[in-house]
Amino acid sequence: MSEAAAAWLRPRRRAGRTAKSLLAFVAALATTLLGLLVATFILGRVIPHDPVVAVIGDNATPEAYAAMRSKLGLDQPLLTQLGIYLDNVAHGDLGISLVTSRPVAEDLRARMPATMELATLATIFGALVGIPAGVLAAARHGRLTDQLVRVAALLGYSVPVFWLGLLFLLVFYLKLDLLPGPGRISVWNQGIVPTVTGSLLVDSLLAGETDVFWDAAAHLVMPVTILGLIAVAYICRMTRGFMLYQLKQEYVLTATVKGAGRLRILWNHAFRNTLVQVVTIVALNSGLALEGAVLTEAVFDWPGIGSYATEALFRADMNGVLGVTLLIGVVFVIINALTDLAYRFLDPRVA
Amino acid sequence: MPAQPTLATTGQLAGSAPRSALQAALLRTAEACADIWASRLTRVGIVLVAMMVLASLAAPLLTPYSPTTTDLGARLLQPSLSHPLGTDDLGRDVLARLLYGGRATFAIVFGTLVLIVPLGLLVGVTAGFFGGIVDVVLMRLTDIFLAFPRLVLALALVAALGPSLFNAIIAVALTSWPAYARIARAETMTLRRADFISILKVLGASRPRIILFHIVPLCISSVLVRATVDLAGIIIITAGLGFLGLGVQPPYPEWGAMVSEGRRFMQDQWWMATFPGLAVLAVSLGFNLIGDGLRDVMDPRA
Repeated sequence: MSEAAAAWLRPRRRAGRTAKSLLAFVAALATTLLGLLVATFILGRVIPHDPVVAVIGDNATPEAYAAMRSKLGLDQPLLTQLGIYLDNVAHGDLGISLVTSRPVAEDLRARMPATMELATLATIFGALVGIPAGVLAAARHGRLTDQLVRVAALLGYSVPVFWLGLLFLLVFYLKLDLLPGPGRISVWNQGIVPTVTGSLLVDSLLAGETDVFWDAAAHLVMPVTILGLIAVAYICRMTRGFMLYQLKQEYVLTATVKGAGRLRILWNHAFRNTLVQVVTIVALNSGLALEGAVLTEAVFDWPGIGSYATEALFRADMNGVLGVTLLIGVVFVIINALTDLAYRFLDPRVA
Repeated sequence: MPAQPTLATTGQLAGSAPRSALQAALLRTAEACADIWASRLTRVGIVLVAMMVLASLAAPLLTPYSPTTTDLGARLLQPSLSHPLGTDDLGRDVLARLLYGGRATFAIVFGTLVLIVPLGLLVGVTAGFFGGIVDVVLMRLTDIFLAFPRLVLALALVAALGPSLFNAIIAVALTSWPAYARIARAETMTLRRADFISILKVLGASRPRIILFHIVPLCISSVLVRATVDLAGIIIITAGLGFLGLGVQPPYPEWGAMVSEGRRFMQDQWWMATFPGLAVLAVSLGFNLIGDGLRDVMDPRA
C-alpha cells in the first residue's frame, strides 16, 4: 500500500473505530440502565409487605383485594409484570407514594432542586478546597505539610457525616447560635419567592429578595460543609496522587534545569497535565455527593430527595424508596458515562 | 515519609531460597508486614483497630453494666466515675453500650468480608479464566452493581428485606463484591496465559482444580489488600444504616443507632450521641490508616 493511500485510509479507519466504540459505549450504557431497572423491580418484589394491602388496607373484602391485585398487575406472570414496570417507568410513572398520596415522580421533581443545590455547592466546595490542598501536599511531598494534609484527608474520609452534622448543629446552632438550624429556609421566609429554577439562591436573586437570599445562604453553610467534606478528602487525595506522578516525570526536571520557577512548574506544567484526571474525579464525585446527600439531608431536615427516601423508609413506602434509588442510580450512571466519554475525548491515549 | 526497608528485611528473613510454597508464602507475608509496620501512621491505625476489637470482645471484663438493662433511676447521668461516658435516656451505661455495640459493627464487617471475598473471587476468576461470553455476562453484571451508589442500594435492600443485623450484612455485601470481582478478573487475565497454567492443562488438571488450587491462591493477596482498604467504607455504611434505623434493632446497641438515639438529647446530654460517633470515627480512621499504609507498600505511586 502506498504512503498516500495509507494516509487517506487512516482517518476513515479511525472514524470507523470511533463509531464502533461509541456504539459499544451506548450498548453498555443501555444494559447498565436496564440492569438498574431490573434490580429495582426485583427489590420491589422481595418485600415482605403485601403491596395490595399497603394500598387498600387490611380490612378490604376479598373481592376488593382481588380487584386491586389485578389492577396492580400482580396476578400476571413475573415477566409481564417486569414489562408493565418498564413501561410505567418509561412513561415517568414510579407509582403512588404512600406517604404523600401523590405520584412519586411528581414528588421527586418537586424535591430534586433542593438536593441539586446542596450537592452542586458541596462539589464546588470540594474542588475549591481539595485541589489546592492536593497540589500543595504533592509539592511538599514527605514534609510536614504533606503529612498534615494527608491526615486531614484521612479524617475527612473516616468521619461519619451524620454524626459530624449533629455536632455542627450542636456547636454552631444550639450553643453559639451563629448559623440557622435545620431546614432550607426560615419559616418567615417560606414561600416568598416564586419557584423559577428551584435553587433558592438563584430564585431569590431573580425576585430581588436579598433577605431571602442571605437566609437561604446561611442555611446552606452547614449542610454544604458537611457534604463537601467527603468531596474535599477524596479530591485532595486523588489530586495529590496525580501530581506526585507528574512531578516525577522528566519534563519537570527539564523545566527545572531550564530555570523555570517552582510555582510555574507546579501549576503551568505539572498541574495542567493532571487536569483531565482532576476534572474526571470532580465529576465522579458529584455522583457520590448525591448519595451522601441521603444522610446529610436526614440530619439537616433538608427537603430534598434524600430525606424523601428516609421518610418513605420509615413508612414502609417502597415506591418512594425505589423511586429515589432509581433516580440516584440513573443520575450516577449517566454522570459516570459522560465522564468516561469526556475522558476519552480529552485524552486521546485512552480511546 | 515511610522508610523503605524492603531489601534489607528480605535479605534478613529469607537468607536462602524458600524450600516450600508455605515457607514462601510466610516469608512474603512477613516481609509485607514489616513494610507496613514501618510507617508510623499505619502503626497508629493497627493499634487503634486492635484496641477497639479487643475492647468490644472483652466488654464483660471492662464494664459491670449490661448494655440492654434499663434503669430509669439513672437516666441521662453525666459522665462520672461510675459511668465514665454517662448514661442514656433509659439509664443504660453508654460505655457498656459502646463496648457491646462494637460487636455488632465488627460482626457486620466480618460477615461482609466472609461473603464478599469468596463471591468476588469466584465471579472474577471465572470471568477472567473462561473469557468470551462468560466474561461479558459476568462483567456486565458486575458493572450494574457498581453503577448503583452503595449506600442507596444498601438502603433499598434493607428496606425491602426488613431491618436486622443479618440483612444489613447481606446489603453491605451485595454492594461491595463487584470491586473484588474486578480485581480478581484482572489478576486472572495476567495468569491465564502463564506457562504453568498451560503445563497444568497438559498434565490433565481439571479446570475447577486449576482455578481453585492454582489461580485463586495467587489472587487472594490483592483481594485482601483491597478489602483492608475497603473496611473503613464498610464501617461508615454500616453506621449510616444504623443511624437510619436499618441495622441492629433495639434494645441491642449499635454505634450508628446510638447516635440517632442521642439526637433528641443533643443540646443537654451531648455524651449520648458524641461517644458512639467517636467510636465509628476511631475504627474507620484506624482501617483507613492501615489501608493507606498498604497502598503505599503495594503502589508507591499513589
